[in-house]
Amino acid sequence: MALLLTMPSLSPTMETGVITAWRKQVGDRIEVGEVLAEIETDKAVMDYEVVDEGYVREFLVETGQEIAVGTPICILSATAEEDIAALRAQARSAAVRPAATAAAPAPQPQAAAPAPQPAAPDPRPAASPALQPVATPLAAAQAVAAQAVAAPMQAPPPLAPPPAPGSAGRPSGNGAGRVRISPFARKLAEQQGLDWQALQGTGPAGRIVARDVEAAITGGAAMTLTGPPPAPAARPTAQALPGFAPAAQPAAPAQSAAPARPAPTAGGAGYEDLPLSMMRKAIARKMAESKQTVPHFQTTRKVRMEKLLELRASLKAQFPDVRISLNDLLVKACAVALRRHPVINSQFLGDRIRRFAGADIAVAVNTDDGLITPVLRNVEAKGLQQIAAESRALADKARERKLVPEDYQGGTFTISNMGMFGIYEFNAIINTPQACILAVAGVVREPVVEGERIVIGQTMHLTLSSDHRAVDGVAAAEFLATLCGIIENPLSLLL
Amino acid sequence: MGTQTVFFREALNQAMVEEMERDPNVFLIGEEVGRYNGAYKVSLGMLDRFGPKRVVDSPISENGFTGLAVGAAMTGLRPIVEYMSFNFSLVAIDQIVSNAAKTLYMSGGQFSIPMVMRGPGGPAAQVAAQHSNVMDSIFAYFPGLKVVLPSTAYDAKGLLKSAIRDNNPVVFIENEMLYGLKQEIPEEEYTLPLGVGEVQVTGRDVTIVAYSRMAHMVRQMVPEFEKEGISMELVDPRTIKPLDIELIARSVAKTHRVVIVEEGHRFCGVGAGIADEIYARCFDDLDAPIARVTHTENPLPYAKGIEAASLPSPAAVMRAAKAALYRL
Repeated sequence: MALLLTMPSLSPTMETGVITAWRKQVGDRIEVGEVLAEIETDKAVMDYEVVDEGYVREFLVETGQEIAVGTPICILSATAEEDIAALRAQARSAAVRPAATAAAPAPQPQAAAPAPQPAAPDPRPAASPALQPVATPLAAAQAVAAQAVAAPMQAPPPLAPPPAPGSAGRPSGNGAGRVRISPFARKLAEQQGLDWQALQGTGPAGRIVARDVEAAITGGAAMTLTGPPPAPAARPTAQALPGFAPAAQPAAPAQSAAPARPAPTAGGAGYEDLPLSMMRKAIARKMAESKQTVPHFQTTRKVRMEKLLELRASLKAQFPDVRISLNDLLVKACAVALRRHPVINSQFLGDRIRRFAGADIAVAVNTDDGLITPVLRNVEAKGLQQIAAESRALADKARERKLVPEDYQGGTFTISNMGMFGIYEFNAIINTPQACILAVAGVVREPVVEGERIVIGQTMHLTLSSDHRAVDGVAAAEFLATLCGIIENPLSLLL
Repeated sequence: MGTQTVFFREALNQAMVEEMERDPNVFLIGEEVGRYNGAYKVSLGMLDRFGPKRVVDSPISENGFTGLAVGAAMTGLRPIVEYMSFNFSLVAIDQIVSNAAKTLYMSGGQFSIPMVMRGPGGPAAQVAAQHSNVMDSIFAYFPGLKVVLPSTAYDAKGLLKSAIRDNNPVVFIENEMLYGLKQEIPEEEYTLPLGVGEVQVTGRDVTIVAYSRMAHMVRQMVPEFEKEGISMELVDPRTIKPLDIELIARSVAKTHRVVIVEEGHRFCGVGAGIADEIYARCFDDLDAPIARVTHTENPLPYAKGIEAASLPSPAAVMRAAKAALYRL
């Protein structure tokens, strides 16, 4: 018995994945629990362990190719010799509608309908209803004609149907990073300075066609201005630039990219187009969604830091092996404040608000690919030493791209700390569906009024971004007051 | 400017009569063109008018009288060869391809062959496989021949007059199904240049390239396209060689989508050549692959139902246009 393995969903938000490496080769025996491939999801590179055993017979997709969840990727068979022709055919027919099957979580009417015959333009009138009663003689005539001359006489193969509207994945059958776009749509996009790489195509196999570009221009959706259109003579494109890795690899920083070919245009800035990594796509989608749909408001407070810094210094002196960072102390302080203000530790879920008993605090970690937010669980029940150890382990995993979904899913509150970058104050975008995110700025020495005197104090700005659907201004202010009280009097952490 | 209403076949008759009046070197030769007044009555009255020296009834010998005409043309006459059916021109294919098409070249420009080979071509109604050949692409393939396929009586007259005056061998294929079409045309003399097409319907969403009976069929589809909300532009090249690719390219630059309709087969068909020219000139203007509507890959059956199923239909044209517009 042979079977078809499909692109697994390795995280709740995963819609597409990229196989970065096969760990087995065709012909290899694979056992239950063994790793077949490494798959890059929108969050991390993960090992894909099979739950079936058998012989690896055929890989159906290439590495580096972005494919929708549910798309057949590999054929396994019980014996090394088993006939797999039927499965191969099944895989081929399944592959023409990957995007539709991997559609958004909420099933749409179109996606739910049984997949019809590919609704392709059949150039031969033979498909007209008039043919039906007399199909046999015509087929015979065609068969006779085809005996003399074979291959080129067949009508072209039907095109894959377009993806269901609203579905996310774009099948890219021609290899990694390839975005299908009609020549005219491309010309139109470039004339308008539109970044078509980010568009969702509605043509066959997800092809971007003129109407998609026009919709983006008029609707402004997914529109990125890339500067004035370059002169036709030197128009660099992603494909034309050497050395650009497909999306499977982290995009190289611009300055170290292969000999940059700035477009020497009259009056226009040179540019280059970088493919989006899976992580960058996820960040782009999530941040835009949050900023566009969540009514943010910010509340800022300045907090005196002397006592917390003293506490950290004495901890460091007395327990040199523990290595507690200022951020660890802030995480702990937030957990205590959240327990007193559960309204902040909540999520707005459309028809209800969910308040959490425990504080699962996500901490933003910067990586080469972008930002990710691993979660420290049940912080309110943990000691500083444990928080520090877990926090460091998660940050290391994030930088090595080894986080698994359990590491970054969920979370009831997020802290984004840019203090180490010399930031005086900033606003963070809410990490939906959480209600609040705390933006932590740097500690500065500055004059402060103390009674009737001006002294040099150590201060820090905390800015809380809140979802006004779940949190009102006073609640945010009260939470910040509590948090600042704890920071300014850290002994209360012991209470 | 007076007008007259004529059948397609009458327009052809007028063209030949006018040109024979105009130039005594022009003569007509073919099977039953004289005493029978033409198998399709295209040469009606011409024997009476011009006599047996200029309207010559030939034996059933296409290879013979085509060769005769090539020789006559070399000496300075301007023969019009009528094939009772273009299917029979296959008997004379060596004279057409090796002699008519090549002599100017092989004689170093000394002998031009100012002859017209004309007659009904294309599938008619239930005349079965051997009499339903579409040979446009065969003639268009060979350098040295001009190939004209009019779709209206007006075009037929103006183009045939130009073909007769042209100093090159011209293959002039009349669709048998169009002979009975009536159209108002000028009473005054006029000619239409070879190699110049016409936008017959103006639109902005999709360009349909069609000639001969297919152009006629697509013209009848205007209300249907309006009902579908598709603004269709019909370009009839009228001459497929030389092809007015500039006219087609201008239309494609406007609509960005193309459907090519032809009665011939798909592989190596005229549409394949036109599509190639469009891709070469208009690649960046295309929003969809060029769609083609053709004869299916089989000899045309005699039985009515499968004959119709084998040929391009309005439904197939509409389907192709929608495919090009991504509206299927």
